[in-house]
Amino acid sequence: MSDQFASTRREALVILAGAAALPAQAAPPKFLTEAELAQLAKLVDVILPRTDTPGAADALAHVIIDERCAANASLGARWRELLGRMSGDAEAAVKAAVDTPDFKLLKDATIDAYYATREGLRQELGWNANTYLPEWKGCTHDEHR
Amino acid sequence: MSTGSQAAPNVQRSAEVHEVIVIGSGAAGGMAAWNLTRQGVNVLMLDAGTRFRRTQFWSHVKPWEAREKAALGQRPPQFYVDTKEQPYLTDEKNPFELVRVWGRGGKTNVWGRVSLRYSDVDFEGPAKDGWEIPWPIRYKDIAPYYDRVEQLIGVCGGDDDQDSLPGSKYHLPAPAPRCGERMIMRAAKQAGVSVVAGRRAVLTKEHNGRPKCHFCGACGKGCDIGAFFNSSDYLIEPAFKTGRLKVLDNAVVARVLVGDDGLANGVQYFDRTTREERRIYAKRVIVAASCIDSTRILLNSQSARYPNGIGNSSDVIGHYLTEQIRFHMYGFAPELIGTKAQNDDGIGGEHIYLPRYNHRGAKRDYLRGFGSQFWNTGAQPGLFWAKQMPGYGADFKKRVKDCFPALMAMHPYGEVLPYRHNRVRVDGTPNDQYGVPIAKLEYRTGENEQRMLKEMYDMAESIFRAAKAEMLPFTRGAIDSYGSAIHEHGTCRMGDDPKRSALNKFNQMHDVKNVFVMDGSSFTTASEKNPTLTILALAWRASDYLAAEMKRGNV
Ligand SMILES: Cc1cc2nc3c(=O)[nH]c(=O)nc-3n(C[C@H](O)[C@H](O)[C@H](O)COP(=O)(O)OP(=O)(O)OC[C@H]3O[C@@H](n4cnc5c(N)ncnc54)[C@H](O)[C@@H]3O)c2cc1C
Ligand code: SF4
Repeated sequence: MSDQFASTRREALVILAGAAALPAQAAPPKFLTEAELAQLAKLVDVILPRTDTPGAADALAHVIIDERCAANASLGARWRELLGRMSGDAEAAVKAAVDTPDFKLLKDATIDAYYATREGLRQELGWNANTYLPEWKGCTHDEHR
Repeated sequence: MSTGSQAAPNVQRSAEVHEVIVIGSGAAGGMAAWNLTRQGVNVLMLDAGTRFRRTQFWSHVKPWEAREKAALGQRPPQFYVDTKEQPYLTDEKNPFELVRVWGRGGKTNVWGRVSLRYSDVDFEGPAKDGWEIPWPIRYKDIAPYYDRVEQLIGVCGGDDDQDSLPGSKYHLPAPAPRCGERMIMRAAKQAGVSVVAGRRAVLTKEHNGRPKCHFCGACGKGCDIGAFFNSSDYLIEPAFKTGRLKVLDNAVVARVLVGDDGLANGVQYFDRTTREERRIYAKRVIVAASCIDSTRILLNSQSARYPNGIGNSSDVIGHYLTEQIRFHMYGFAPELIGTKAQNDDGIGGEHIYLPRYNHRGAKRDYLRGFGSQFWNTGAQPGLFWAKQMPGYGADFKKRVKDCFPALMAMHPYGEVLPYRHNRVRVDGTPNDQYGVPIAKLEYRTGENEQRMLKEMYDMAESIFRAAKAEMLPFTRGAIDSYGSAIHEHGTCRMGDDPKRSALNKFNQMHDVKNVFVMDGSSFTTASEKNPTLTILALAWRASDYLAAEMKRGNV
């Protein structure tokens, strides 16, 4: 399988720049309004921001959450309430929400979404598994025994 | 509804009387069908679903590709039964989560593959401590069948057996532990507990012409090359080759039918696609629909002769539902924090196992024992643990990345005693879409489990402490939801005393000689171990007995 996601930092940055040049989302939102989705993009980025690797919004975590809302109306309603409360400056809204159910929902959903994307799982964490290996070596470190 | 042999006039009946009907195609049903057909017996298998095609498995679909495929309207095989289609009731205060797979191979399509032999510590337990009835068999009775099953299906493992975990001459090579697993082994040793090589039904080398595992870690999505045992590929396909097996797909069995002589003479089932009721006849019936579904069928098989369900003069059928309590504990191996993530897939599950040890040393203030599994150790997708770490932002993101390669996971399993009040019932429950009463599960654990749990937590914590692991928060005494072990047992138990058991030691009903029940419902106790290797061995043994009894003209 061709792997467009490179392991070196330099190449990663090139990809990052490319990602940033893309429009925030191609398709219209499935459940949320444009404004809600834009706010959600800011919120997920406060949880997992862009560093030398893509952040949650780069990985379209907010779009994934919108898709989940579209598939489950009561979940969607719950997000709508959250977005109603966490409006305005995203950084400040997250800070004010810490320890509330809103924060937990936002954080958990951002983690679930981001770390299942190419950007989150492969590029950020370096996971490159679920492949075909001829042999299994396991731990080869004497110091781990 | 009548369950005698008179059917309503519009019910389709087949005139043919089959030699043997097998209900269910999972581990138990698959084994019965395979073993009988190769001995010259003709078998008709009824299965509630259809075949899952390996070519359609999503074994190599990455998490992000799954989303892309879903957007195109594609779906992986839907293994699990939807409770909307087949509901069951459970006690709201003590919910029991029932996991069912209907279709060729049953739960073996997606099972965890941990394959542990029961030992005499397990088989002799109840006879020694006097809790409920003794097992009617001992290790020596089943050992030759464990040998045969392992040779047939391929189980990898070590030679580091213990009195509580019998070894095998037939293990395929054990895969080397992952880094985090080595550290668990080292820490456990310091804590005075031994951790051995895991035993798993995964082909670590080519076996009986089947390809070896390519270490992709996707087993839970089904294996696209069939490198772990599943009943469909390993038992049912070979049984077809004998020319003596027929399978009726989408045949949801409701009841076992009874003739005037008190023997079973067939089954009533509903076509899952048309919902039509059908009756089909046979000289012998093997019930192997998995513990809860089998028990529901038996309890619903009521007649003048068997008012509380077929073969239930002892009134034990439906009672003594048991499995294991379990919990999860997580930490991070200090030497692995901040290292580069490795490919930790291996053979999918953990490569190590912690066998029961509490039967040694000082007598405990509780009965029975526990062992532990360790799946998810290493760099594994699915970052549920990150939700339990404090904070957010760039520091949090870095912390998650640092911890990713270092996860150590522990999942102790402790035996739940058989209690009469833990049960499957069909009296007074609503009907399903076919008009058949659904099952209600009543289940709660007691004092004994609470006391055992204390030692389980002490043990788990001592290992993480010895590893100097940074631990995720946990609540002592918390347990996973009932049913989550997916090891239901005991509701049609075997025993020597027909007043206190439903089956004899060959899985044959005491009351109805031509009915055999071969799945986990036949277990007298649950033990701390995963059951499927033992289900396979018992089903082989029971079907050998049935074939011999047929030759002798006894059934
Ligand atoms: C995720 C997961 C992980 C697991 N991990 C392990 C493990 O590591 N080790 C282990 O030992 N076990 C494990 N198990 C349990 C293991 O899968 C079961 O013990 C085993 O499959 C039981 O075999 P069975 O034949 O009794 O039932 P099943 O395999 O469930 O098969 C039941 C069959 O009966 C059919 N059926 C059901 N109802 C009807 C009906 N009314 N009419 C007709 N047919 C019917 C179904 O279609 C199916 O074919 C796991 C299970 C799951 C789901
Ligand atoms: S790890 Fe091995 S057994 Fe599991 S799905 Fe991959 S190839 Fe099959």
